[in-house]
Amino acid sequence: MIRFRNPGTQFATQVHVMQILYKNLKDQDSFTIKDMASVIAQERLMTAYGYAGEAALELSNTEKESMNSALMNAKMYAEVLRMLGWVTPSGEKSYPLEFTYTGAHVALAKGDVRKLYEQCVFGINSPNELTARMSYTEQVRFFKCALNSFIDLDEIMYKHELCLGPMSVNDISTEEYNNMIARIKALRGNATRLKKAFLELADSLNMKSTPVDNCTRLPVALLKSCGLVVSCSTNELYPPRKMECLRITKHGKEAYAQLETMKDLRIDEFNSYGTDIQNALIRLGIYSMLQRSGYDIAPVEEIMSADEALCHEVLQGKSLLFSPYQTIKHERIDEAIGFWKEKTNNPVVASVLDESQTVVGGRTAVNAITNWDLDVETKERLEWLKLEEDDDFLHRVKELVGIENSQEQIVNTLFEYYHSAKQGTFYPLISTLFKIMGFQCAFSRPGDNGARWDAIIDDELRSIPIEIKSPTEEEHISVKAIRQAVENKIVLLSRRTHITERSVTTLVVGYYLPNERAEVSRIIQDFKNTFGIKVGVIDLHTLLTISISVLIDGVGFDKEKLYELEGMISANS
Amino acid sequence: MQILNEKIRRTTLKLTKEIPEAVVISPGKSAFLQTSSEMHGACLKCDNPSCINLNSEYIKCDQVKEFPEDRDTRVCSTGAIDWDENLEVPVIDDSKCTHCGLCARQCPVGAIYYSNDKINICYEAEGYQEVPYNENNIHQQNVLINEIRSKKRTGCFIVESDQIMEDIYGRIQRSRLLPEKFLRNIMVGLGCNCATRRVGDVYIRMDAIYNASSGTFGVIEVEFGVDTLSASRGILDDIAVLHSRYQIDKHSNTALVVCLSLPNLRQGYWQVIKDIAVIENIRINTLTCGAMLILLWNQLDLDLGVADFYADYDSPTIRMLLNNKLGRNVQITEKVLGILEPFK
Ligand code: SF4
Ligand code: SF4
Repeated sequence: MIRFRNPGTQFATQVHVMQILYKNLKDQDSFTIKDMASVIAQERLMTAYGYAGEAALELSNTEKESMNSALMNAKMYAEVLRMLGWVTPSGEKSYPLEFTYTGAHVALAKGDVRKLYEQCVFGINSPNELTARMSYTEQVRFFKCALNSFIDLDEIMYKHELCLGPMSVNDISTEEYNNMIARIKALRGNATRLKKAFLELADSLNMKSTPVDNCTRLPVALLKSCGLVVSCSTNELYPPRKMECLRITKHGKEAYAQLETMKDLRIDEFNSYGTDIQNALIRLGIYSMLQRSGYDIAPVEEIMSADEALCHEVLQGKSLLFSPYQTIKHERIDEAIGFWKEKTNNPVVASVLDESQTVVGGRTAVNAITNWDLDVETKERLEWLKLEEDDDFLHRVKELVGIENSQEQIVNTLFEYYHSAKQGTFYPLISTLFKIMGFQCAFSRPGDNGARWDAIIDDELRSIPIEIKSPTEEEHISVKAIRQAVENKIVLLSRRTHITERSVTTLVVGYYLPNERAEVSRIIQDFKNTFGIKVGVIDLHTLLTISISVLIDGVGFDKEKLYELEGMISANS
Repeated sequence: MQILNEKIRRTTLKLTKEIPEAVVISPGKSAFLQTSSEMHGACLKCDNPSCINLNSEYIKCDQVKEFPEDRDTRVCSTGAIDWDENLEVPVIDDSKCTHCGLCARQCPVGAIYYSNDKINICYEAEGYQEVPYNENNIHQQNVLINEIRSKKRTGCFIVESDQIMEDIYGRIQRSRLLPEKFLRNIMVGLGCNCATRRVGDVYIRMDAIYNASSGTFGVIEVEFGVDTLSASRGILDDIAVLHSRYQIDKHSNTALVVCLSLPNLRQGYWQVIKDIAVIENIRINTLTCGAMLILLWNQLDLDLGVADFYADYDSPTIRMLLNNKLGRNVQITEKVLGILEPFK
């Protein structure tokens, strides 16, 4: 099966990215992914953790993780643009890249580029010389074959049928194509059959079903961008289940009718011809794409008719369907059309990113985790631990004390144990732990809509609302939880159900600290700067470590720190 | 090898024989153009049809230059309006059309109108001349359009009713359009600049930012579903990010939440909006798409800095605010679609 490994970005964005890249990089002989990342970020086409433009790039530079994400972003675009034949590998390797003659037309277009875009979509064909070491062998002009399949399958297809059908067929063999259509027809009417066939396909590819499903994102996006298909939800294919399907449009049918009359030239046949014919086919391929896209071919008309005459045996009066930049290496094309780029003498001042991929811009490192010393002072207060849930926990700990050797082991065992806890277990647990730490804490029963917070530390002067995320809701605390904590604080200040002050923290407790620690730290800082509200974030492991130490060592805990807590804390970091 | 030129696919365009003094939009027919004769709005076959593409200047917001806005300039969120190359005019596919009227709001001569339960375009009327498509005439047409845009524009495109709103809401929901972009285009139709987060950008959390011509600036959260609490929380996050990272003072941020239907009372939204006003002294505006479209159909602009749409738990309705803007009573029955007050 053909692997389209790319998220389906939007048509408008692809064209825009191309135009911006061309503007910035056209004077370079070739450009790297890093050059692309730099342009994409500077032109605000990429963002990183709430920052855009230069700031995003600076982040990308200082944090290895986001650096990778900047490069990933650029790579994603590079792959789509290469697939469309707008950029092509400059040398033997996949990178660096250079712009193609067709790409330049897209970049410089003033009018509607949709037609040229569509020509490039139809130009996608495999195998070709540009995708090295592919894990598939299908010989297919996918989008033409897909349109044909829609027509032969009553105009509607489900995305998985694309995987089983046109993505997994050699369309140069009519017999194979017909068998494929027959196979899909035979699947229809029974969703279980389809599912089974799809899972078998994934198995045969040694892939999980989700990545196979993901391979449909790009083709579906391209088909839709060109207006060749539209979404429709129907139960016609696999009754009674209503499924989100695709339906070919009038335009799709017309486009196929035209493609059908053309000479569809693939690489093997191309290679079988002599150099003169090949060169003529290259020129014809490129110019005819532009011609069909509404370009004025007058300046090359003579060349085209001469080439047509030369290739009449190949074409037999048909027009040519062959996109050189999507099929063969550019050296051969340059030879046929002559080098088209205007050379400039000014070497370009390249990217903001330096060669070693490391720091260029200055950004103060974000202190993701505020270390918190656990000086435990006050005595435990077990008198609040009266609920059944509290009892449960204390029992569990007592049992463990008998089995496990160290406090650390006890903490780890408990931590494991609560990994699958739902709200109904997790809220009381958190409340129990705060009680062990010496706070009067009450939790809300899940589903209690009246209460805004999941638990609250009820203090005479400085009450603290707690937003709790059980591991079954989210393992890692999210930005959303931080937002909720801020809302909890505002609600508490406004409705005064418990007494508190603005300067007292509002807490978020979850299983693990956030994944996006840098961004969470920053947003906590933003809330503090803007509203003077402090958000404290604690993970379960920390709470367990403190509580077990209180229980076993019998020492207390410096409660003052909690009221003032701001940022993330972790006892074991 | 030289770069080829795009072929000019156009042959003609149109000009008016006279420059109208005012444009009066009328329900059921194309606009009335005030000239010495009885003239009606008919398609100019614009060189740059503003019924199809927005001016890219309107979809960015100068206050936050770094905002990575979506650059898709299409006016129509469902792709219902498109250019017919053979006829050289815009055409509308009613099966995709939501009847929102955004394209009509952008047409300088009011050639687009609503009648017979669909959006129509008037292609022919008295008082126009068809001229060859060339540099000079394109220039003339641009001058003409700028001139007409500077004139007074009044009237009403669709007179709202429960039935019409139900039709439009049904079409919006079926079309599965992108709420953020639809909202952005409505804001532009209401005379604002509005930039929306690029589709698929996971790093920017705020949905959109806008500014009115007076300079009023604000952040927008769009929530077409029922999770309106996430919108009010999101707004606080947005205000904080803009305040702390982009130097937009929290009190100069006229924030707006846009939904299809106003949140129900039990969802807690209205109470939180009130809490925020009490504690932070920040008034978050709430609007529905329906209310915004009614303003737009009546050729009105939106400037929340001048007349806000603040509603909260004490009075969770925007009916009076809309009546004030319209200068008349809005003709939507109480609670219908949650456009002006919550269903429940
Ligand atoms: S409908 Fe209006 S905006 Fe569109 S092309 Fe005609 S005159 Fe221009
Ligand atoms: S009325 Fe709205 S949906 Fe219909 S064509 Fe115009 S912009 Fe598109």
